[in-house]
Amino acid sequence: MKGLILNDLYLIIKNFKAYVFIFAVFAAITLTGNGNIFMVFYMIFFVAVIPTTLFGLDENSRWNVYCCALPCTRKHIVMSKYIIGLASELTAVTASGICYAVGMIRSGGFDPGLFSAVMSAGFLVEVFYISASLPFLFRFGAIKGRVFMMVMVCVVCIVFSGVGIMAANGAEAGIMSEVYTKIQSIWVAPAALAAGLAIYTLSFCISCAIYSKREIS
Amino acid sequence: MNALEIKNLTKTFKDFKLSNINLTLPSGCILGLVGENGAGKSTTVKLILDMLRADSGSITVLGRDSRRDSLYIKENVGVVFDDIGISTRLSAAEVGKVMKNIYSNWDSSEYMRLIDKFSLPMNKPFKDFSRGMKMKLGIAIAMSHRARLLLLDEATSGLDPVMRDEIVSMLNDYTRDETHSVLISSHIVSDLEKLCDYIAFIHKGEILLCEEKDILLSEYGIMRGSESEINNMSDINPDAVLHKKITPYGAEAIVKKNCLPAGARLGAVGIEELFVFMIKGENVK
Repeated sequence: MKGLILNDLYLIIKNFKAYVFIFAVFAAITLTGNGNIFMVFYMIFFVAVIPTTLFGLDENSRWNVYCCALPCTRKHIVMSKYIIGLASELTAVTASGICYAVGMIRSGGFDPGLFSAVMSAGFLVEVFYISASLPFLFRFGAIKGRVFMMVMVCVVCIVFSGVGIMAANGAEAGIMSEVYTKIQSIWVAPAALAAGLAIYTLSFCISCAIYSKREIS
Repeated sequence: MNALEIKNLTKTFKDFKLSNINLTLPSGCILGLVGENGAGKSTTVKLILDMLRADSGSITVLGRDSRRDSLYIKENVGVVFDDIGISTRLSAAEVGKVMKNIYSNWDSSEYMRLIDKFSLPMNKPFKDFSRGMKMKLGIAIAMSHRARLLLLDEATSGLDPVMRDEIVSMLNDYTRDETHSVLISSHIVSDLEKLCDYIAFIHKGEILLCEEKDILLSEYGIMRGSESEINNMSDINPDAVLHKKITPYGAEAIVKKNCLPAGARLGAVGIEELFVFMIKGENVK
């Protein structure tokens, strides 16, 4: 499995150089801004497409077929993509978290509760995205997987819009301060991490079950 | 021991069926699987590698069941597909590092020796390789982990004659070790004729014939004459004429030499002629 991960790492290094530049631009905006949440989420979302893109590259070069002829189990193949997904996710969350924290400190208003809530939400959104898309990619391949990715982005946008409308209505009703207090609790981050890992593990088991039955031709 | 045994293998797709395939490849030998495009060669290779699930039948590779011991088999089998499958942005050096972490018995020095022998660039991306270089890299990988069986699926297609000849001589060297065997599928029959000990013809998912090459060449002959001459021969001994082809200019038939009367005038038949006759000629049986 180490070889499969190494192959993916080489592909990330060679194919995602532009990502580093874009990431650096958004990091700079976040660092110099006053804690803009959109920038933080954008950076996290940006990295979430890495597993989907890797699937596309594998299918394009037929590596997805060749690696099944190598001494790797289907479970190893699935696991390597989940490890790459998790590693890129943690990297993105950590990097954007640092930028966000520095941005908050620079603007003189570091709020640990808000910081923890925002980063937990970012982590969960990305976990949810990767966990939902990988089983589809293993079942249908990269092309249909990309269609699913677009559907997912729409779903996330609709959910966020809904949350925004609810928050606006809640603010009018005066209940938002209570909600803010709850989501800024110290338990939010560990709970988000546990929930994220549970979703990720469930998704991994589903992908293993799907891919072990898939015929490779 | 046989390197490969396929018994009564059947696999059905929506629009294609591989029917009742039986093949045996003894250790130290090269078996050529000849068939036109879409005949079922790649499907057979993928079934051997447990990439596709058979409906029925059994496959034994190096004495092990292909499904139960898939990992062991893949450790000991080198595979080259027509489209190779190496990530296009990787260089030969990086591919070597990837494979070192995939094969437990990877031999880096042998890989480097083969890269050097094939004059392959170490740091050029795979996508910039010529077709011949890509194929050579695929073969270098297949031969760098002490594989006892090579499965080459259309490994010589699209290569120029010089390159094909190089690959043929390399495979001949490989099978000097009696524990090494090769299954090579191709529709370029001339390569297989030079290389193989055994030949199997596959057509529309069925094995038409599987025989030692020398026996094929000595058992069969080609008879040329008029339609009536061919028909007469068929009347004298119904087993003599296997396939015939009638054209406005005359008739040709593939005949079994030992079923013909002494003194019958015959030409030598090549594997390619035999194959084309079996596919396109009228089956007399």
